[in-house]
Amino acid sequence: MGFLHLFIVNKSGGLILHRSLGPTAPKIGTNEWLRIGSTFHSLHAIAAEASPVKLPGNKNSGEWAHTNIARVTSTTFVRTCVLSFLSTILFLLPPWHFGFVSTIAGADDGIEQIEGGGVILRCLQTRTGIKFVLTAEPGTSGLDAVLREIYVLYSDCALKDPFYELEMPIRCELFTNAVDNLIDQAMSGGVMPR
Amino acid sequence: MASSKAQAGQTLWAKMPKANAELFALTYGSLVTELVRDYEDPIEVNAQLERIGHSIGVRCVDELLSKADSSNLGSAVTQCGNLRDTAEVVSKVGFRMFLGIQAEVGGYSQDQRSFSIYLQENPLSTFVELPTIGDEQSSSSPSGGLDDLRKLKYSNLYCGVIRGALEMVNLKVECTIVRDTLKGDELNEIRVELKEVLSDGAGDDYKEE
Amino acid sequence: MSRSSTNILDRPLGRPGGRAEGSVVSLSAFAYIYSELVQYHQQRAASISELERRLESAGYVVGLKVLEMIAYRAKETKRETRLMSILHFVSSSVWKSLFGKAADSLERSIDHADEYMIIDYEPIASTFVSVPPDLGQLSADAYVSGIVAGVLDGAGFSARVTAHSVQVEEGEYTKQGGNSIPGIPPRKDKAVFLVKFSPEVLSRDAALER
Repeated sequence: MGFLHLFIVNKSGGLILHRSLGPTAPKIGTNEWLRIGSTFHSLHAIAAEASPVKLPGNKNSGEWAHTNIARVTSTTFVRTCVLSFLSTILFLLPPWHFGFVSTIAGADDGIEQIEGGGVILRCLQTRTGIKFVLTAEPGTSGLDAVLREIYVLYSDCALKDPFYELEMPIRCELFTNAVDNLIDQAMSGGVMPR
Repeated sequence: MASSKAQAGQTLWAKMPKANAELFALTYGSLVTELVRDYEDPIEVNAQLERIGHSIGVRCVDELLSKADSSNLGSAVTQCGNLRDTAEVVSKVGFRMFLGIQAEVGGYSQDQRSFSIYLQENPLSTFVELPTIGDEQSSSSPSGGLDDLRKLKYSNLYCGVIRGALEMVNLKVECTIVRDTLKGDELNEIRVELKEVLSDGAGDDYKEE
Repeated sequence: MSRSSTNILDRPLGRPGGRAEGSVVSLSAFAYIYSELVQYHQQRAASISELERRLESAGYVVGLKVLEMIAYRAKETKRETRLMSILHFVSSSVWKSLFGKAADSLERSIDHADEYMIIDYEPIASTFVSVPPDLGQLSADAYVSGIVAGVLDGAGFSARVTAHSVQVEEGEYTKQGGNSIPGIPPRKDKAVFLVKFSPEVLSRDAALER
């Protein structure tokens, strides 16, 4: 039970933050991180397009849907993509065997959660196109709540900072301190609901 | 349901840490004064206010969405299926949670592509009065100011905020202030017109033709 | 229907619709406007000190207005003439009016007779600001120091006021009831507003002592 990493990908697929959240988190170099960020961004989009099911309430349904989206009937295509993604961070993680990929998400389609033998990865995609991604040891609970809180912290600590430029790497000390604080809380008692 | 959005707005407002409204209005006033000093031409100042509003809009939308989500206020707020829903969220949730004011929405056009937001009170302009026509005592600025200042859209910030916020959720809109209490109207009215629904960037690369 | 028949000076300070003195907006709304103000001035400032001066000037005009408003509302018929009184007025009435609570402390400098310090452990303007390392000693509360200068000057006590960010010692401050901004850990620095009165103010105050 432990959080490993947080990374945040902006609308254009650029990595704007990567942070190690605990002592067990493997060390990943900057270049690797950039690759992880953009690969995940692409995979997320592929998964959204390839998903056989579009949920109601998705931003592409209802009156707003006006583009033709190809439907793929099987999910093996998605699995293959995800495998290749995980392989980029595979060698840095404990040995694993492929678990399952959940592509049926809440509001938007795409990748919500990936589980392997050695890691859980959970993603929160916002309506504004940012992806907050957490990796954690198996058995760690509360990832969803933590991600939602991180989104709130981003809106408070980064977006209100006059020295933070949108879409750029986040260097706001207030944000990173608040994230660390949140993880500590999550590890000890669980995240308090707002 | 319209009322659930109003409730959501109220809930979110209650949870927001507060700041003094006068400090807020005076700080905005300081910004406007600086712009008038630097740009002189009120049309240009209006454009700057809109630009600054846009910068705020692209940021505050994430705060609205994240806090609504975190408070489990659910899909009524974070998922809008049509322009009416969006209009309701902007007015009932947005204006309420950030400014604590009750904004009304209405004036939907026939084609349902435009609407108006009505504000009885305007926290931006608490201490402001624009010189009226025929007011001989008003000092005229070097640029022949009196008439000019009437062209100033003091609250143009709102237009930018709405435009920026909606842009982040892929709606391209144009906003204009059509009625202004500073100009003697009985309320403030912001007209919002939908220009285009934008499609997401990333998915495009992978769509089959 | 227009309201031009009511001159703004005749209107009560509370607005129609029920929002009177003490009315609030969200801290976020203030933070966004303030952030834009800082960015606007930063683009036009050639140095850190110029940025601070610009923010101070922006606050100064606000300070003059704030003084008028607060003095009017307090129905003060007597003007403050003593230095300590005006400092108390600033650190309690002005602070409460603008920030919802009195300043955390008011201190007199040991080394300089003309210097006093107003301390705020949760200065509002810098709540969400993370000053990047390359901007060094910049205090995001420079705007507030301008407000203080405006109040003091307007009251006849001209002073140079500067804002400084000072690290909080372990155990120095515990806020009752936890942090006011959910999720954000307690601040590691406090704002110290250094007030340096001009010589004529000090000599005048000394004369009044006798």
